[in-house]
Amino acid sequence: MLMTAPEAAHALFSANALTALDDVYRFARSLTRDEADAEDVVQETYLRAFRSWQTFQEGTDIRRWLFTIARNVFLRSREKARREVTLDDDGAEAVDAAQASEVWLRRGLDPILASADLGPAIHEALDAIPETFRSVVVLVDLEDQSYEDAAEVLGVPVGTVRSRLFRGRKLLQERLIAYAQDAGFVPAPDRSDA
Amino acid sequence: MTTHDDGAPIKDCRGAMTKLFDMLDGELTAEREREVRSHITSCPDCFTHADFEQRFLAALQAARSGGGCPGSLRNKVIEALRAEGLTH
Ligand SMILES: [Zn+2]
Repeated sequence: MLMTAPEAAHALFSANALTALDDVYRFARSLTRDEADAEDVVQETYLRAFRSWQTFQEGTDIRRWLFTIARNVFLRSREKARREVTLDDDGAEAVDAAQASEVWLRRGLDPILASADLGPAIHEALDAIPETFRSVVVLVDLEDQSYEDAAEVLGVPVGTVRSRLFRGRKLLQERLIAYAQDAGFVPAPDRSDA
Repeated sequence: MTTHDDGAPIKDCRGAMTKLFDMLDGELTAEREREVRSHITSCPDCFTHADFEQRFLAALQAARSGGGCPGSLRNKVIEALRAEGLTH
């Protein structure tokens, strides 16, 4: 049975875009930190995606395309257009700043990385860090996007992805240590010996 | 991928650790990755640290499971798309 051109396009949309619903929902949830808001973002994302389906380039990553739309929907949904935090693109500088606390982070986190189911704690920690860092960590670490893909979704240079990723991961680690202490996995460490 | 690689040789711990995440994320060229790995395997401090970051990233990756799109939302999205003219 032959399909008409629009029918074929619709079938492609269903087969491609709709299979990414879980991923888009997770990304929207991480952006909004709220289930109801995430649902709105997902709905709007799919409507926009469907309306502009002809602009999707076959062979490119459908998730990257949908993530980009979702983030734009999210940004527009916020009442105040907040100025993006501009960050230094030099990852090496971040490394220097963080090096002193590396040992402290490692000692604090090691016990829980090995044992506990960290899932809920990680999501709690993700919700607690600023969106600028959260988006990039979610895209690269949870949704497996490359630096280049994440840069395109977020509309920033690859170097910015790299430095935000570094800062975001360190912020997460700090949050997780607080969780580990609260949950009694590790005693409050003495930062002075780090 | 060499976008942010200054090309300087990895000659010390700092050089290796600056490239650690790029390596764990698979963003280095094969040659560069070999260089960083060779430092890490010969340096106990960097090895300990790399091992820690790798386990941390694995924990993040594992946290992805679950939390997919609720069935009710899936239905709503499909319904809305049908109203827009989606036929399949
Ligand atoms: Zn070293």
